This record gives sequence, C-alpha cells and structure tokens, in this order.
Amino acid sequence: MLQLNYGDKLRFRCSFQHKGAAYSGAKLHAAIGNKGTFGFDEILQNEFIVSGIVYDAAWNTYTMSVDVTITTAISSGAYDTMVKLIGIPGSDIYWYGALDDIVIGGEAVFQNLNVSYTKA
Amino acid sequence: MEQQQIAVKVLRQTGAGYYTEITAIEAPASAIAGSLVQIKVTIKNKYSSVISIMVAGALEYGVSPRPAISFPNYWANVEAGASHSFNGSFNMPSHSVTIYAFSYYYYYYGFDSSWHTDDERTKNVSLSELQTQFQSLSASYAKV
Repeated sequence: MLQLNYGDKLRFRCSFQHKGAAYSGAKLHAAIGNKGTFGFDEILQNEFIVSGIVYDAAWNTYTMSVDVTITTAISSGAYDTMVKLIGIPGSDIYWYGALDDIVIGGEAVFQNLNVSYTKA
Repeated sequence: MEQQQIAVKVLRQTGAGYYTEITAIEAPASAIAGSLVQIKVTIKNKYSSVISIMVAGALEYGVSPRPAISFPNYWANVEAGASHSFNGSFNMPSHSVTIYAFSYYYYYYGFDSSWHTDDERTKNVSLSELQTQFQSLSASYAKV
C-alpha cells in the first residue's frame, strides 16, 4: 500500500516487448481509479508517447515511465491502478496493479481547537 | 585434401551438367530483411569415379554484380554416383531474391587444369514482412 497526498506524483515504470518493424504511434496510458466489473473507472491519468521503437528481429524489451500527478480531482481513499499500451497493431495491452494499493490522504483538515486564557 | 582430376570429358547426359547435377537447393520460401538465410546445395557426381566438385552461388535481385553466397566449405571430393551437400548463407536484402547455384568439376587435360562450370539451378526466396507485435506489458510504481 502506498500513501499519497495532493501534489505528489506517482511514477509508473512500465516495460513491454516488441518484435518486428520499427513503429511509432504507440502510447502508454496510466491511470488511478477504480477497477470494477465493467472496466476501469479512471479518475487521474496521463499518457506517454512511445518513441524509439526500432526494428527488432526478436522480442526486445523496452522500459519507459509515466507520471501521474495527484490532484484534488480525486477524493481521499483507496484506489486501483492501471496501465495500457494503446495505438498498437491489434488489441490494447492492459496491466492492473494490486487492488486498493494506492491510498490518497486527502486535503489538510483541522479540528479540536482548544483555547484557555489567563491574566498575563 | 587433394583434388581429383577428370582426364576425359564425357558426353552430356540428360539434363544437368556433364559430370555433376545440382539435385536440390534447400532454402526457406521467405525471409525477413536483414536475417541470415541458411541454404544447402546438394550436388551429385555423375561421373564413373571420384571427382572434385565445387559449389558457388549468387543472388539475383537487380544488383550488379550479383552478391555472392558464402559457402565456408565450397568443394569436396565426391565418389562416383554419390551426392554432397554444401551449406551456405547470405543476408536477406530488402528484396525478394533468386538464388543461383552453380556446380563445377575439377578438369585436367594437357595443360588445362582448372574448375569448370557445369550445372546451374535456381530457387526463389521471397521477402517476408515481419509484423509489428507487442506483448508482456508490466509496471511498477513509486512516489516521486
């Protein structure tokens, strides 16, 4: 479980494999949200344009990063993560993180102000 | 290895060369550009005794001179009626190619002792486009 607060960045370190002709147009799409029965409800997300895919005669591993900034668009609570590789021939490829592994601390709140007074 | 010599030229037999016949070229039907293509050329000795047989090869795809095919062991002494396979290779260009394989025999008559071309055979290798494929997406994350 990873605790995050507003203003923090969550860096997704992604890897995938490629084989075949050089390719451009792929994107890594990373999101924080809720994984449900009908898909992944994204709340925060970011994309990284994949570049430098060269001709690979055999499977070659590429590693790239996507940062998602934690903003007030997301409420405090526990959330899920998802990354998908899009813009590629064939179907998109998905990766899901462990459920409820991201915990957003929420906005700063104050309470229990107490005051006493004396003659000074 | 000492080369075996042929003293007398015989009449051409049906098909193939005088003394040799390329009976097969083994090569893939297609290959991707840049890949190393392995081939095997089998040559039969049609003569009545052992002779030296040599192989050579070239690629035809509109380039002049034709690029040569590499045969690390390009000749052998072959018994009468026997066949010998020569392994070769080339780098697939970005075009479909025709393999031209040639057989030679070592000829000796008077002052003439040299390799003589004898048979020829071809085989096509088409260019294969390797489709772009992706797999195995995985990720880890950390606060930065």
